Amino acid sequence: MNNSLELINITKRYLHGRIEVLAIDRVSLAMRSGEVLLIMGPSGSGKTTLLSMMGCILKPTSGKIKIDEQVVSGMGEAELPDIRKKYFGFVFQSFNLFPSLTARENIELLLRLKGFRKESIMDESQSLIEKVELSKRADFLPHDLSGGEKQRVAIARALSGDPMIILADEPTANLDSRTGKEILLLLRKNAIEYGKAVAIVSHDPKADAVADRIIHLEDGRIKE
Amino acid sequence: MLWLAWKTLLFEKVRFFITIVGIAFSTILVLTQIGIYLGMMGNATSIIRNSDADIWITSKNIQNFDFANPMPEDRINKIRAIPDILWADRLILTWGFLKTEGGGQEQVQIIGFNPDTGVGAPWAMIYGRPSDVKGGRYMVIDKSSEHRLGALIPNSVWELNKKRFKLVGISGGIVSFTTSPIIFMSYEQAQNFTEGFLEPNDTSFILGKLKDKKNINKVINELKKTMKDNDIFTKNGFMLKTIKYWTIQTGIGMGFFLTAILGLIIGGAIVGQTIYSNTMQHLREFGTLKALGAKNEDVYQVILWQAAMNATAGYLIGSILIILLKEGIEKSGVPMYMNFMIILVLFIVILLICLLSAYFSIMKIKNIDPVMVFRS
Repeated sequence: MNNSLELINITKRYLHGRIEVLAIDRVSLAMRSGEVLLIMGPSGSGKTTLLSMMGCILKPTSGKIKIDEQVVSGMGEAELPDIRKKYFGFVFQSFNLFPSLTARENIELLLRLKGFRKESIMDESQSLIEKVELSKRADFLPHDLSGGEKQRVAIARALSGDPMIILADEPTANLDSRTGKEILLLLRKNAIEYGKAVAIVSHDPKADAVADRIIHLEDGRIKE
Repeated sequence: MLWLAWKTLLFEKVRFFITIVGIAFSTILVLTQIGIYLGMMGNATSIIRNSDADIWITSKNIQNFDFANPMPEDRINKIRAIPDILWADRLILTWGFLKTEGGGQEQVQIIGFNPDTGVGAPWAMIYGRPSDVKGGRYMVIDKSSEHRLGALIPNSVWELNKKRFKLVGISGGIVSFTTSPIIFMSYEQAQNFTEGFLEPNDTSFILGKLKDKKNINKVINELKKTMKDNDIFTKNGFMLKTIKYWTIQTGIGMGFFLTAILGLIIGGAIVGQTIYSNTMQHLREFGTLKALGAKNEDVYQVILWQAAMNATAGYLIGSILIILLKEGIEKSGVPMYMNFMIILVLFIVILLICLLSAYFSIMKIKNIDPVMVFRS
């Protein structure tokens, strides 16, 4: 089976004032469809930097990133937004929903961005809302939703347009234990039922239970 | 993106309301200044504009229509001698004092025209005909003078420079730049009674009509050679000369211009400030949009649509208010000119200023690093 996402010998250096920081040091990994990859590690180990590069938000200093066998690490700012739009769904720790849009509209926003036709947007958003079991709360604004409901909206948004890869950054950090577990199971369900490649960055020990594979990051390197 | 811009604007109703009130205020300020300026300039040139003449001959170095100097009236023969001239006629502009009912007096502008040809005659009559001034001490006064002169009753007798004149006509909407009431009378009467201003055979202007307008430059050059003691203008040239005088030499134009510019700056600053603070408040959302795959141009669209919506809503309210207030302003004696084209052009100007004021927000968006979305 082809890899959905492949990182080959990725390094990221950046300047912090005058000091050069090595955030990621020659990391290689691959993600396959239907698989949940858990990235763990202490604060400052480079987890978020790695996730940003996996999602084509941050460019590596060296190394190669391939998505669906296509090398994307050499692409410029003009092309990368389209790559993100086509291949990725993102779930953030702080949900990052638009406060002026209802749950349904937050999902519709991404569908519009992805160029869906007006008539299919409503059907698609309704189907996504049902997938995350939020039918009764679809027309509520984010400030009227609980943390768990907000994260469900974020997951539905991440799934819009059927991307190959879901990247979740600390998706349970702002949730209580029970809700956090539900969200992790929902991400797992998406990997299994819809064949998504899911990467989760988390400190949450409960995340182990949903992961097919766990990598530990320390000082920018994968620790076996 | 229009949809997102609209939703975000409406979500913060108080901010939206404050912004459109600011733009409406700016619109009212600018439209009032432009309207009053154009109204005043329209008044200053109304007699020139409403005459049927193609060329105006004045005394040398005249500053504007209202400051006419006398010149010998027989110079009209030089004009009539030119084969390209269809007709030529004389017009007197002078000043007098009209006694009012209470015993006071008002300075008035007197226009003496030829009632047989109607050249320089009042063009909008409420009562009577311009030709009624023929054959005696008869006059036409403009309706707009009523608030200064008292009621204008047809066939009432008035004292003008100690001579009795009968009111035989009332014109409508003919106002001088100086706001002095305008009185129309026959050329002969104006020439006879204005002692001190004009000599017996003097006139203020000679107006000419061409057989073919295409020859206007040729005729003007010819007249310039033979009438060295006079200035020769086209109709538009004389209007421009008058407008330039009042606008530039008196400083009136600068006053209006600065206030109008101030209005535009206020409008631009309000929108710029609102859009910028809005952008700063929603920076994370814009970063999220970029992370999710929106291009900078997509996010710019949200900002620009918001600026355009603010500008349109504020301008609409401001311009409707001005249209409603226009009549009241004019009734109070302040001239105001407004038409669709002025409203449209100013809308484009205000829209452009509002879009430009979004510049700093766009620069902010341009520099957002979408990595920020991973920071809690």
